[in-house]
Amino acid sequence: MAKTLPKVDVVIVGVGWGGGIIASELTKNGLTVVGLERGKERKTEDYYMVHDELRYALRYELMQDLSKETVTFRSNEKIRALPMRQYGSFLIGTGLGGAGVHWNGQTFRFLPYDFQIRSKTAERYGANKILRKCRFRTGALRTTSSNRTTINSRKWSAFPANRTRLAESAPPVTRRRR
Amino acid sequence: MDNRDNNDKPGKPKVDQPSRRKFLINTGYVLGGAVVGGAIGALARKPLAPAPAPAKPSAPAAAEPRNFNRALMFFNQEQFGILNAAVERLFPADENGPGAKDLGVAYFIDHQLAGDYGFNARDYMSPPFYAGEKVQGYQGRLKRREIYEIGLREMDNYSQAQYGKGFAQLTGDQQDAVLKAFESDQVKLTTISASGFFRQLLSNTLEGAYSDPLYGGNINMAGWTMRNYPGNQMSYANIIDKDFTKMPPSSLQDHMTAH
Ligand SMILES: Cc1cc2nc3c(=O)[nH]c(=O)nc-3n(C[C@H](O)[C@H](O)[C@H](O)COP(=O)(O)OP(=O)(O)OC[C@H]3O[C@@H](n4cnc5c(N)ncnc54)[C@H](O)[C@@H]3O)c2cc1C
Repeated sequence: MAKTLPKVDVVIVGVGWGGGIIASELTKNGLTVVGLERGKERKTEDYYMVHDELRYALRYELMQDLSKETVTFRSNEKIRALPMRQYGSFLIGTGLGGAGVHWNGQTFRFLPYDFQIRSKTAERYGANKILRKCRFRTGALRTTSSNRTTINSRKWSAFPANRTRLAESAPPVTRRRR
Repeated sequence: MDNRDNNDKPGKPKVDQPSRRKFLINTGYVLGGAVVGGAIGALARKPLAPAPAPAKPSAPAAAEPRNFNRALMFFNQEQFGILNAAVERLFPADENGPGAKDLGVAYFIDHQLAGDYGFNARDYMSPPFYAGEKVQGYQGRLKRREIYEIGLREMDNYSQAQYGKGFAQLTGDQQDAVLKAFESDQVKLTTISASGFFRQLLSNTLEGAYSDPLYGGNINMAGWTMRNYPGNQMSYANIIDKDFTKMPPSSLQDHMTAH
């Protein structure tokens, strides 16, 4: 039976870096945020056997179970998009922290373009393509689909514990108001 | 964690004996290179530089105490015999150390196929199935255990056709010829890709030689010892700023008692 929960300002589905940073910024700005995460919460103690290369690096224990859900892809429009049946070059995270739980800890230098996204976008597509009435300050967020999200690991490890509480079936979660 | 590309450390001693292990080098697959899914199918992999350990007298595994953890979960005896012979050709005992047989690689593969991995339990296996581009990775409907059953049978069939004997009864050179015929798709199969099966076999052979002994291969960490690989140490904090330190390998079993 559907249970009605208290209304919140923002619901974020998926609490990886993207969802996590957004939650952090929104709550800093006084909004109430709920994060929904499909995976379980994970702690350091869960990785006692983490040096098991077969289990983690070759059998992808930490990645999304592709039998349940995968993506389709193709390299150009001329071929048929097919499901990624097994892991290859990119790995889909799952559980609290998402792919940030097993990233490699490399942080890349910003490219000049990173500081010009707004002006270059306006230049190319017109200023009206940029959402202007944005109630939330999202300018500080830099989450892209590429490898260029920048958070350092210290911040990262500090993040889940105090910002987010997770439950697998029962939704609710972050509540922070200032 | 994903350090599959880090196998080629500079300054590693190279094996330059014309060993049978060259066969392995020439096949050009990296440890655990089974991953052809996703979008990398067509990318070349770095060649494996196997067994850089200093030459040791070939030490056949000492007679071991009876091991009750050692029996078959999936293959029948005949399949196991073919597999055991094949993996030993891919990873032969030589002056560097034990081969696949002594490392228990065929048991490793048997046990892997008996479980999730063999059933492709975490792969997307739902229809519809279409033949894809190479970069789209595996698109077949057969599970790994089925591919192995077919592959081993076809290796035996091919051996019979060529030499009038089963694969396990052939000489080493003949076995190599059969494996190479599969590797190069000289063998035409309608059910599976011969070269695909070969790559699978090779990847699993390397996995069995080098993954934790927990899984049935790499017996007594002999695969690691052979390469001076320290296994999975809890920490290198004490030696990280020192010169190269040799240490006996440690296994996941060691972590059970470490704390
Ligand atoms: C092996 C590896 C190494 C990496 N190394 C680096 C590196 O060194 N440097 C670097 O900058 N980047 C690295 N990256 C990339 C970086 O880690 C990722 O880009 C980043 O973590 C992605 O964050 P995200 O929030 O966009 O997505 P994700 O972390 O994937 O988060 C998505 C979240 O949504 C959840 N979710 C999905 N669907 C649902 C649903 N239906 N309901 C509820 N929840 C859902 C998932 O469980 C997951 O927690 C690496 C990535 C990998 C895989």
